[in-house]
Amino acid sequence: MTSLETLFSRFEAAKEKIAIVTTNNETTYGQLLSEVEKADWLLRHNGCARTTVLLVGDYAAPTIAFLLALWRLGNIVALSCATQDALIDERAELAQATRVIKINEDNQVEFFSRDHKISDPILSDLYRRQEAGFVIFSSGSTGKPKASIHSASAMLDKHILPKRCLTSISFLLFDHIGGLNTMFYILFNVGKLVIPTSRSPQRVAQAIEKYRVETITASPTFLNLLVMSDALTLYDFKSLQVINYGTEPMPESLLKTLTQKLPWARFLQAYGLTETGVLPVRSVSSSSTWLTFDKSQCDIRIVDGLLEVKVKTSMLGYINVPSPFTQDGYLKTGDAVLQEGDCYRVLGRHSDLINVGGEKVYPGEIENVLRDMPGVVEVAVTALENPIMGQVVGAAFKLHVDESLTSFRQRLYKFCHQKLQSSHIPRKILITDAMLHTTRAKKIGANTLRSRLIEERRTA
Amino acid sequence: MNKNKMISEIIQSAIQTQIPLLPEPIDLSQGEATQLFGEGGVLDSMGLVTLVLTIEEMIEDEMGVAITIVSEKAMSARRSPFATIGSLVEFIDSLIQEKQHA
Repeated sequence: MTSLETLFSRFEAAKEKIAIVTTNNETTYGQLLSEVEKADWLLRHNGCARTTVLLVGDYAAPTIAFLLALWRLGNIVALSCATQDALIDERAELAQATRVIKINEDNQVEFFSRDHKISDPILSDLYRRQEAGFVIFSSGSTGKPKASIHSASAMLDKHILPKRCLTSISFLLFDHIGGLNTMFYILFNVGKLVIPTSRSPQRVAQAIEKYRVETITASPTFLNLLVMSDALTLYDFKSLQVINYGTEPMPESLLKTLTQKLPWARFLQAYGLTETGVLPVRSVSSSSTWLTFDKSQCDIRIVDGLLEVKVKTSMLGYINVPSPFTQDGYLKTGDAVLQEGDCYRVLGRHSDLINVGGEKVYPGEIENVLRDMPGVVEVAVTALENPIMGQVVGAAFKLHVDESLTSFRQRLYKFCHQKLQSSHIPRKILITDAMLHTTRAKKIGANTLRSRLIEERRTA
Repeated sequence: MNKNKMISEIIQSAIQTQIPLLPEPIDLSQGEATQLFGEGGVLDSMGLVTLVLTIEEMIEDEMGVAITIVSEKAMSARRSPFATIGSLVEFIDSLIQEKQHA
């Protein structure tokens, strides 16, 4: 039996159970199965078999059903939550999609044809082997997105072994490798996927209380917003058993706050890249940002302080971009890690490293300290070019109450004096009202932050 | 207010803001003769970086001119503009004039 058939047989055996919950709707596993059949019919009718399809939609029964039906028909599915026409065009072209299927908020389905030719060797190879696949878009450092191709069975196979059946919120999106991973965990264990009306801290907190959510996967930035918005005290979080965090480094100070506020929950770090899939890691403890790798499932090595990984869930390659794998099949993550025995700690992207006159530091190490300064809601740190030191530390702050830059600067310097070494203290400071995170609740990128520090100055 | 006096005051208040970071208290009683960077100066390199960035910000905010203090001109000057408050005032004044006549 293929892993997809296994999945359908589990749905069949749990027909009455609720699979997906939205504000005004519940879908059982039985209903999800009939949605798959409905999608199957529409796909055959529209000639969608063994081709590349861009699937535009968010977590919802029809979107999930279409993904499963598309895979059953041997398609390669490129995923996009973004619905803007320009982005859809760009992504369809990048993925060499011959069809676009758009599922809107009212679950209406639209089909569009595209005349892209499939020329990429990896895509062609998948068709030849009659294997289903999926494509994830990641923002390239140069601004142009990259499309990584993955085998569907690699994603499905890893979830076959039964695990705990839980009620869960995936905070990560449908077109994110981590979001997809969480969704298949839930589906294979016939758990319940709760979809909040929006990803604001209030809405998510409401959903956790209302549906007695047991596990959530979120970014540290979002967890910080939960703390800052007082949601942890206003709503009942007692049902939460496991909190998975990932997509960016967890500040130690934040983890400490979280474990104090939610002492009954276990905090587990998730680690992976779009290119590697979610890696088999385990946090040393709830209060630790150190983790271990399950070396029976992946090979890892550290080269010049940077992590390299060889794992089954890795992508097959990028579309029309040279292979990033080493000769012997490792992927260079670009993440700097510390090692102590069998334990590892991810410090951050090597490209984010700040070098002040030879003294090197990762933004996270500085943010960790600055977060604890009284009155700070959010802080983001980056490197700024400097004619004297090569680079200096720049920091943007969002504050609880308005404060003049001069007064804040003095307070900051007093606060930092004993806590950070001189070269790590921010020398360029911005106080801003604007958010320091993206709509996906991730810290804003280094380039955006840099231009804001230079251009968006607010005088008090 | 006299322009040079204004620049001098900006420099002094920029120094004031980083007092918490300085290894020893800075004595501004010598006014423009206060030694900043180099022989007998009170600032280390990070102190100089901060002073420069803070002064640039304050000049822009208070005088409406955006200048870049550290440039080839500053580095190649016969006498370092960062030696004393006085030399820095003179140097900044020349940068502002250049900007205004450009």
